[in-house]
Amino acid sequence: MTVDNEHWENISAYLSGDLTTEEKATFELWLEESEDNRRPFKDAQTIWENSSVKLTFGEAGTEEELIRLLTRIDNVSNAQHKAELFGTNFPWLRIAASVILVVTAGYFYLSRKQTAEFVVSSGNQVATLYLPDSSKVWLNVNSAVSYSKEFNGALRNVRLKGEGYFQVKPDSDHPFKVITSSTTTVVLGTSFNVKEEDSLTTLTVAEGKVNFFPSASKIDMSIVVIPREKATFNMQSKAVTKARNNNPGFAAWRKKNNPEYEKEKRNSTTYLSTRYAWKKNPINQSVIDGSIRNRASLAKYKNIVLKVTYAQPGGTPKNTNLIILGPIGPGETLEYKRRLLDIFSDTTFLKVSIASAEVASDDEP
Amino acid sequence: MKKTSSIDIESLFRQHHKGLCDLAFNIVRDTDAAKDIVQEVFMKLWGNREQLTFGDQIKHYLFKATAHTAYNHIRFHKKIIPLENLGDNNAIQAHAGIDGVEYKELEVRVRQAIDKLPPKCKTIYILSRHEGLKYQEIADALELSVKTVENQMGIALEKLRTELKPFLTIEFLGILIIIAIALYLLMP
Repeated sequence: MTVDNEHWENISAYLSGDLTTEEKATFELWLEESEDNRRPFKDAQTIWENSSVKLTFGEAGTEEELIRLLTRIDNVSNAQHKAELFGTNFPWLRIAASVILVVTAGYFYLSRKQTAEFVVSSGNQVATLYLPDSSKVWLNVNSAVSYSKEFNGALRNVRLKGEGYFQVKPDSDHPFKVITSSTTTVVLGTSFNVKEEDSLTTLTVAEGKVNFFPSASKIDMSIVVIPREKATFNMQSKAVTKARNNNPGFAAWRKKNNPEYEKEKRNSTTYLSTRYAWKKNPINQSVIDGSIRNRASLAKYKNIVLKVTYAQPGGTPKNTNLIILGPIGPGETLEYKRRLLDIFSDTTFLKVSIASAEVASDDEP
Repeated sequence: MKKTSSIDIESLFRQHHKGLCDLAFNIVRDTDAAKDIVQEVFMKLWGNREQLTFGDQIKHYLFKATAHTAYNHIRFHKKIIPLENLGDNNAIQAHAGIDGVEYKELEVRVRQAIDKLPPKCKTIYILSRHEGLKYQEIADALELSVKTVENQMGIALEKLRTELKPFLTIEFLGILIIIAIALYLLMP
């Protein structure tokens, strides 16, 4: 009854059709030799003939899987594209604020003077605008900023009247200058606030390092101001003083009288989006791995409610809510991981969407 | 060299997704893993889209890649499949054959026994028996030598026979009984 390995190989190759004609003939001779050879062969043949049960699973979810694939491809090509764009040219990308290349909004008007300057003034509302280099500026009420046509060339100079908050795109080759009637602030790429009121001009820094000096003096008499510091120039005494900034809400004015911010407060779901993937874990719970992105410019959100819809084949969809506490600051992304209580359910479909969120009242810029 | 646009990936996906999922499922016996495997295969396809030429060859490429990925999956993921799951009629797509309770029973038994084979053995057997691949094609798909494939196929049948011994005897008896009854009924 025992047949050795070589013969088993021959048996299987014979049945699968992988023997040459000569080999087949040799094999058939071997079969004729004895019943002890034929018996295992017949058994193998029976097994071979009865091995045709091919398992398939009913619902492969092709359309859903296609979306999953295309999303993944999108992510990969975006990452590659970003790497190409920002490779080694912008080492300060992390320090400076987020890169936003979208249309502006806000209450402002553009006028052109003879010196071919662009002027943007806010009225009784906070204005938000982008400069030609994609730096972002918030203007407080009754303030104005102006820049010339040459702005996006060698110089990035803007003149400021009143109060403005600047989020400057990094460019180490082209310093960005904010010139008030008496002071100049120079940066390469950072976030800071400049306020000129009466005889005092105050610079407060949010991120990065900033050079500050009275316009009348030379640049190497400047002082460097870093986050949590502020510098003040007194036009009358002509003195520049540096001090700690004890007011973390120095840029809070951006959230008052600002129609953009009002929109962000009211329509949290417009500014929040989520990407996610899910699978069953060894104890058959659905585990959702995702991230939430906040694309608002000022609003910080908390208590984000995610609506999860899930279903098993032939079953009615069920809904459940997940709460992500956050908070997520403007431009930030938050990751989350949650488990559903669907141990006894063969969930094959799952969708997550943002249902609602609250605005975190925090005066940090 | 023809480049795939995103449209090509989409239509390829729609065309082959179900079939590739079935292939993967047959090997790994886990629906989520099967879908993940097919995703991986298409991601790799997309990653290599510059180097690959398309045409009829694409089907073979996808097939081989799926088999290979599925094989790697069961090599590294140990999983015990409850035998009850295999009796599930939803999952079984039986070929036409002689109708008779004994045969269907045996087929299910055989399929259960196939799942008990070690990963290399099982994958090779499935590719040969279900997909009709020649030994050389199997060797190419799984990056093994033809000698290994020959060897593993022998081991597969030997193990299956040991596993299925009791059912083979019953099945023989069953045929004999059926034939006897049929002859009896046909007798004038």
